[in-house]
Amino acid sequence: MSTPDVAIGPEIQKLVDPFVLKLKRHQIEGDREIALAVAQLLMRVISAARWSDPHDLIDLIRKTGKVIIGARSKEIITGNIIRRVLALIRDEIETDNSESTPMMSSMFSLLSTNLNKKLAVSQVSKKQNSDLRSIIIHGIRDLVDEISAVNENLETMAWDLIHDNEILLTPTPSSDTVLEFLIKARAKRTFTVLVTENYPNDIKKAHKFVKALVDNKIDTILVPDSTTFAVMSRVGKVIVGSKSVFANGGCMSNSGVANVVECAKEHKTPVFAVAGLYKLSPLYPFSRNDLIEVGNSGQVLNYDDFKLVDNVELVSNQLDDYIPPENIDIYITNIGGFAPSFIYRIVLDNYKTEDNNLE
Amino acid sequence: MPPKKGAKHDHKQSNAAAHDLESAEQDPLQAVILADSFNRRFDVLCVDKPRCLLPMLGVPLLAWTLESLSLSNITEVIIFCTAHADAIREYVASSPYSKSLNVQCVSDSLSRSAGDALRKLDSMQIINPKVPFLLLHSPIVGNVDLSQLVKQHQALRSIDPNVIMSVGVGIGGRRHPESPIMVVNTKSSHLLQYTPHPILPHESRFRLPASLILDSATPHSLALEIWSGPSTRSYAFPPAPTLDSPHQPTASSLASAGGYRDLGIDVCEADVPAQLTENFDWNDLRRHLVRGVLQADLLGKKIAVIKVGGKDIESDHTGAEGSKKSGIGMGRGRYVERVRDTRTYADITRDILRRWAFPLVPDSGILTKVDYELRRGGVYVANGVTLARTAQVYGASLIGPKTSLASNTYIKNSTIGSNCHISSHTRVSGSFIFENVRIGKGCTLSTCIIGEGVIIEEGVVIGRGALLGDGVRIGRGQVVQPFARVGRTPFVKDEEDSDEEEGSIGIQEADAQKLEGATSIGYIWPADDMDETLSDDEDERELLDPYEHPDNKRLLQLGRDLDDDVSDTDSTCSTLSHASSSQASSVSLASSTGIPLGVASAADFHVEARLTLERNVSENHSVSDTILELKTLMLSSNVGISGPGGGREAVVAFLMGLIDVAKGAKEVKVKSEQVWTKWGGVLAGLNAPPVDSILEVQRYCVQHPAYGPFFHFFLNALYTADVVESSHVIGWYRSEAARGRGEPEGTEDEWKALWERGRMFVTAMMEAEDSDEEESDDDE
Repeated sequence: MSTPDVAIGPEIQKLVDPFVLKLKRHQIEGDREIALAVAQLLMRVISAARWSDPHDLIDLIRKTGKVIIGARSKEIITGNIIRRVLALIRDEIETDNSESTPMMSSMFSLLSTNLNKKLAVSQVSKKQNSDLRSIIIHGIRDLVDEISAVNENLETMAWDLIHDNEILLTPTPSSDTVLEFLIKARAKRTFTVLVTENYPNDIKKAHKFVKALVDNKIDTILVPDSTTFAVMSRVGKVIVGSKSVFANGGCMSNSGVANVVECAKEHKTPVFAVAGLYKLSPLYPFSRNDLIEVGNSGQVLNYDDFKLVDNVELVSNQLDDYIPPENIDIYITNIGGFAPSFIYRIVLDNYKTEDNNLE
Repeated sequence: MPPKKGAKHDHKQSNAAAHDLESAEQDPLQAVILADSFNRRFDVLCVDKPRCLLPMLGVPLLAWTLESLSLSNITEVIIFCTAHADAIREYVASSPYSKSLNVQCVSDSLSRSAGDALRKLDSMQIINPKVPFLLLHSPIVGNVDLSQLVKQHQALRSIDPNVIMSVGVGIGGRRHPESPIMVVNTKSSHLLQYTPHPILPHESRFRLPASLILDSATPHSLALEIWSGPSTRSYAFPPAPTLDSPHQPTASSLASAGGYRDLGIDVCEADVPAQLTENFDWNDLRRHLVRGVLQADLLGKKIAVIKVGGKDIESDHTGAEGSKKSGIGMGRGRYVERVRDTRTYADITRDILRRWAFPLVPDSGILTKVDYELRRGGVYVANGVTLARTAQVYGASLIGPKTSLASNTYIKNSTIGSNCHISSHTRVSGSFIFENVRIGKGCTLSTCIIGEGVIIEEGVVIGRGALLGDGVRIGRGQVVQPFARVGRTPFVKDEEDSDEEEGSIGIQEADAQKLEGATSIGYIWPADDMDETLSDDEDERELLDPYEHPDNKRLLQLGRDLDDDVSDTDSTCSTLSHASSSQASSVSLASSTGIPLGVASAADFHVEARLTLERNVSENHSVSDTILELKTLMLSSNVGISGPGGGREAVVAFLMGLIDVAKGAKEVKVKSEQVWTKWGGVLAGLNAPPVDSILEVQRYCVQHPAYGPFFHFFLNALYTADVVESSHVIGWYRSEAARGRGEPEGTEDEWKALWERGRMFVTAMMEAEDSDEEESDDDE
């Protein structure tokens, strides 16, 4: 259960608690679903919250954000959305301030007392509170649109990057961004896709993924995970879906992907990572083991098989892999393609550094 | 999921089901948790708290259950408490579930059984009669959507409105001493028979009334399957016999499968409590309710089964996107188990730690505020734990907050609660330690449960399966015997069968066995199986719970290894009689996991026994050693003392074989006296009734006519060797059996002849006795 935070009012708590429980119980799954759910929750929180000073609102969002991130600390996406919303609010406040208080000399602001300035700000914001609220909510709605429309902005990139008669390999059949990307490319190109099964967590999704590709007239081959290295020499490009991208250019992806990109590196095969802008995180992956979530052992060894269940020492089902930046050649995002080393710049454009640490 | 329903039903059923679902949406699903187990399996640990508040991984069992229900989107929960109702109420009020769920605590300290509990609920009328409710017999841990069970039950009910209850049956899982054998009609998913099948005493056969097959109105829809508990081996039933008769042209099939377990989760209609109210003597839900409903044809009510888990379910379920989206469905990666005894408590704890119940894992933070970190090798360490550099923690372990492990401690497969201290050089393996426990230096704990606030001083050894109640203190260097139960207060025997009974303070000195050691606090409770006296009366035994048989109950304890403690020999099951046509009254099936049946095994035993005796005689072992060897042999091959093929027969046959009758009367007399004096003790050591021993010798003589003429010598030898006493000889002489009563036709004369021959000895003996007595009288 979430720790009842004194600063969060009961009406906000009521909104947040069920969501936190849902996250903890894994009743919301999938990056996009989580991102959208967090954005919608924040929208509701902002419309329910009462504040006089926009900085109070920032405080509130930071606190709520901490609770939400705490619910699934290994899910980076939740933090991204919260920080995006915070950046949005800060931007609004800045533009407000710059509009309302006419250009003052820096010398003057140094000389003026703090009290007066704060008073001025609060007076201004009181008038515009309702405006601000609707502006922020509008901003979040834009964010929601951006998240839902991520796949559509990839098509031009798709035609540039995929050539005719190429053989591609994708180790992340659970990513619908990859699926969209390939389907978009098919409009102008003919190519073959190898899909790994990604046992055990994605095996069903892999089959559906293959079905979807075939339905779109793409030559598709489903390969077992073990054959990755063997087929790599024939592969022209590896396309990887990502769960979240760190500021250093590394990313989290499905378990098993780290292996595949390592094979690709061995064969000097280019690796493209596909990611929506909302997956970019301002954080750095300092403790990599803590980032990896361990899932249900029953996926690896079904509980029915009690003879083994009782006799194995350890069954472990990691859900994620960390992929270091040196194993990725290009990030394909909805705002263009970037080298991993450039990610930190885009992050700076979209987040405010003061929100990197919510503590 | 009803496996394969008839296609013609589909349309009608889906309409009805849709209707049912609508009504289900209007009325929220209710779940009833029976907080009391109505047995005594946890009682040392439950002196001052109810079983459902025992901590599992630092969280009360009740919380796991409520969480499992929350995952199933069930919001109305009724907790039925008997003892410690206030503690349960208090816990529920303080828990976060008081907000997310509508929890209602009902208490009735007079309820003595699950039947009583449901009767009480029926009389209180708090169960919504419109929707079926979920009945949980015991605390459960699971990530299965239980509301699916209700939906399937409603679907079954729409086909046959007589279904009043559905029993949740899990696929796979561990072997458990409480596995039933269920006979199921797989086409309609109806349960036809439910037989408790304890591991010990082993029942190698169970009866299946032929009426199940013969009286079936619709033989074509009959597909019987026999579901038995998980076994160490898969069951090997022969191909199903087909019941061919002119009147039943369509063959019904009879198949069987192992690996089904009763989940203790039922979906009940309001009729179920009503039935219990009507039949006030029904107490146990399985032995009375299920059996009663199934046997009473007049009622016409039926009980269905619903499978939970297993791969086949998943494929059936792909259509139901709704359940998939929420992430909780059935199939792979689904887990549900119930805590019935210390054995399952240990298993389930380990399963949770090894993430079979994901997302119900300690580090997900669903149940506790404690932040656990999952380390390599399945070790969960809470925030604020002090681990010495040389402390070793291995596999599937959990260390609670504020606990400290000193140097050179070794922890494996164990859970340690919050605020514990474990001193250096202590080894803990396979154990469950609750909160605030202090363990001294150099202790060894293996496979035990240590209650709250226990203090264990230096150098203590705690044996496998021991249970230490809250607040016990074990003095320096003490050894706690395996499977011992130690409580802070002396054991109080109460007549009622309830483990959460508040220990009344009346101390019975006879039972109170204080712990040794000057600083120790605590009393050893009598062994679990001692407190019940088994009656030999068949009728009374029928009434007792077969699972509560002392042998079987022992297997329920933590630390008992089913494979070691129960011999699991190979035998295949055979459908003995093809219950074709009319005259066969019952189909008798021999199930496996047990003791080999029939003649072959008895012959094996005879050979073994003879070899053992021969070796002992030739190597001149002591009588007591021989007895021990024989007893072990008898136990391992499940051969009794008496009866044909029994141990006594083997011994007598062997000993008589030592006597050579060809050498004339004198030799025989001397030799037989020698043999019986030396080895007669073996017979006595097997606890065979002496009169029967004489009869056995007599039988041997009947079967081997060469020995017949010397029968009185043998009698004399038995008497002089003190194998039998004069009263036994007289008893034999007077018994009907000695004159061949009840023996096969034709041998009666031989029996009688031998009896006549014996009479000479008896009269001589009686005269001698009389004179002896007179002499002794004279002496006085």
